Amino acid sequence: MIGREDRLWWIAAAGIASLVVVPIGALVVMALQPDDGVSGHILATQGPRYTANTLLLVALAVAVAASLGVIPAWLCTTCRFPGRVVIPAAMLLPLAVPPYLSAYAFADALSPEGTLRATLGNLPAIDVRTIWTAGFVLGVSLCPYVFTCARRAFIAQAPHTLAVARTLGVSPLAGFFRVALPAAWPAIAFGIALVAMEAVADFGVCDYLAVDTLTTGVYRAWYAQDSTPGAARLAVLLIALISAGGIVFCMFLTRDANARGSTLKVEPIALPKALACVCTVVCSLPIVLGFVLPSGLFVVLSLQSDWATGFERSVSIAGHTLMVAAIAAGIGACLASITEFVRLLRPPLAVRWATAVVPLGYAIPGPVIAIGMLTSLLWLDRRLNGVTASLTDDAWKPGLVLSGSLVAIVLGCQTRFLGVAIAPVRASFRQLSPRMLEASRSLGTRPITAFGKIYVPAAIGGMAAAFVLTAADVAKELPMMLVLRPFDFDTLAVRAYQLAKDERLTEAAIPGLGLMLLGLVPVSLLVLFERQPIATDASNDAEQ
Amino acid sequence: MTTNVAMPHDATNDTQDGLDAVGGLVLTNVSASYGKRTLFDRVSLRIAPGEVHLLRGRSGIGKSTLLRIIVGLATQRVGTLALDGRELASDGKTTPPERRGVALVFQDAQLFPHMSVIRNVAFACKERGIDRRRTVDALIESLGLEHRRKAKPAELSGGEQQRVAVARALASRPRALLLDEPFANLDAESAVLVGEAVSTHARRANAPVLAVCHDSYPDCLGVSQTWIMEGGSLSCDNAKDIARPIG
Repeated sequence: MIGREDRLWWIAAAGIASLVVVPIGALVVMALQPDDGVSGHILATQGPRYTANTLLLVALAVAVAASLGVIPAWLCTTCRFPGRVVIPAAMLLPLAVPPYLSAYAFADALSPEGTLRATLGNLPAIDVRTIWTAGFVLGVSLCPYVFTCARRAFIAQAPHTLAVARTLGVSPLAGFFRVALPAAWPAIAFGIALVAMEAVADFGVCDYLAVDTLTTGVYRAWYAQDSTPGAARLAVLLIALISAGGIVFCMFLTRDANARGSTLKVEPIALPKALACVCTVVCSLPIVLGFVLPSGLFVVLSLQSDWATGFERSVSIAGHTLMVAAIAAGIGACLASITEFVRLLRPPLAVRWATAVVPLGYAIPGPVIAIGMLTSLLWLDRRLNGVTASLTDDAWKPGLVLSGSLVAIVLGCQTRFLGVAIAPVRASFRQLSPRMLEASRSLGTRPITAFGKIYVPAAIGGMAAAFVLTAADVAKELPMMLVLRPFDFDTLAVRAYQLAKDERLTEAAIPGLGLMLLGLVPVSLLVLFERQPIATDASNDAEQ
Repeated sequence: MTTNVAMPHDATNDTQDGLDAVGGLVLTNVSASYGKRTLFDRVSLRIAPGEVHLLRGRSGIGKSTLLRIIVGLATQRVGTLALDGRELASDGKTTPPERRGVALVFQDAQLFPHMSVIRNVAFACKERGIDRRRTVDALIESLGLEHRRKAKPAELSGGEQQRVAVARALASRPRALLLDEPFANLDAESAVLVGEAVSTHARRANAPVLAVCHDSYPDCLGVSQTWIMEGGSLSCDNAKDIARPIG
């Protein structure tokens, strides 16, 4: 029998889902309204170009990330060369550097007035503000996603499938293309989908390198062209594109997703010295391009800047950043736990759909969510002001309490990053038996008691991971902060962006380094998480 | 140091002196360890062309390691290994697995998960220049897998997977065939099909066959010799052959 308390949980889940559904729904409603002249013009004149650029950017980023991710993953799994044990952990370091910081670093390093040319002298001029540079920067920054997914799949199956192929007369190279790559494809496709999603959603890199995509177009239509309906129409086009990509991805993911692990122990292939050195260089390339180069350049630039003033300014901005990140991540971890707990209560189909919708917010670009959230909250603010005005005879109106305060940022971050928080919480809940809740209820325990006494303590590690991962993402988030922040409220990301846009990269170095340091926290967690297969791998080496 | 060996056909003398003259699979004074533990020390054996030998012993004693050394997936500490007069491994020099011509049927089948039965069986035909259609079709039929041609490994039972693994190994026309517990997942009828296919291959291709087998095996396998691995040594004693043939 369904109790009243169960219904309250379902309502809570529906409320959480509304954080995703309402902003997107608001944009769709706005996009369907009659043409105001401007929005139709924007869509007709800019839509095709933005779409073509977005698709080309995704293709470039995916090509670079796949090359820099799959090849090192394969080499680290199957061959023996110097650095083989350390490189997999170091490959996660580029994730600590937000792509827009990498873009600032590459642009500075290669531009005519940049640091690299100043050091090395007369080099041929390179136009860095192109879609090719943007694709390259995104590919370099995001290649750890492909690397991690590919490596996990290769560890699970490549050594033994390759060994079997070799006993049947197939060379290691042919075995890679005929056996290992197709067998690992579902996992690699997942990594590629993450890269594609991030590339579509990118604002910072494209805006800085002057590449017009749908995401930057949404922001420009709203901010520069002052056309919220135009932004809404572009946003709906963008969501349609993401949905189509999602369908294609699901078709690829489900295909052949039947790979299994094996207990067969296989020795890594011993390479000649010269070839082993080449492998070390190839596998180090993403780390150098994605982490060493941008962080090194930012360190050099920060040493050139007025450290005392810059640091003092950055401390107060870092305080804002940490505050927003902590509030948004704390609420996110709690909402993620509630969402996952509701799934265990065997809710009706509508509620199950609602809980399934929640993680999808991560696929929606920041500017789209920000404009959708702002539109929704402005509507609520107007209603609230109307009600208070009628109750107090126009004596008092609360003003923009929702859309003009931190509430907007916190809610926007829930929409975008609840998917990030849900993943570790779900993993923790899965460690408990699915019958645990039924067993506790059969003993007379209420769901709220089971949640507080069984599930939260069991998932505390997952909730902590959710908090850290979400906080890091919130701290790095740029477009939502640009749109939703209250007046005179900067975060490190916003500050670095504004200074870099003004060509004051030296001053942007300190907030940039602050962001990188924050980014290293979740990367350290990931390294710890990834240590098990790496350690197993290394111990296999030792055994053999 | 003693040589832990008891040779049928006076193989002790054959192994070195007759390496070029005598074909088949010849192991001479091969030692292997796992970490710091010595699995076996200076063992020798010879399997004449076309003969089927069994290898028995307790779990974890090193039988599978010996097969992996022969196929080239593990390296012996010392000793030499030759097939049909050609040295495959000795003194740190080793021929890579893909160039040995030795196929191994793994204990857990190890089928390629993304390929259908027919693609798994035909996997090695291209590399070896084998007429794919005739060879693969004949093997699939002889092992009773006609109705499972397009199935993926995940859709097969354990016994079917094992038969596909045997078919795949035979389709590569190996010069020597190794089998690790090939009858473990098979019912009596399937075991007979596998036994016949293996013995037919051994006879026709004149290939030596070594099968690790714990329990029963089909009579049609035509076993001519049984080796016992015990206490780090290898002995040949048919009196210890306690497993009963099937059928």
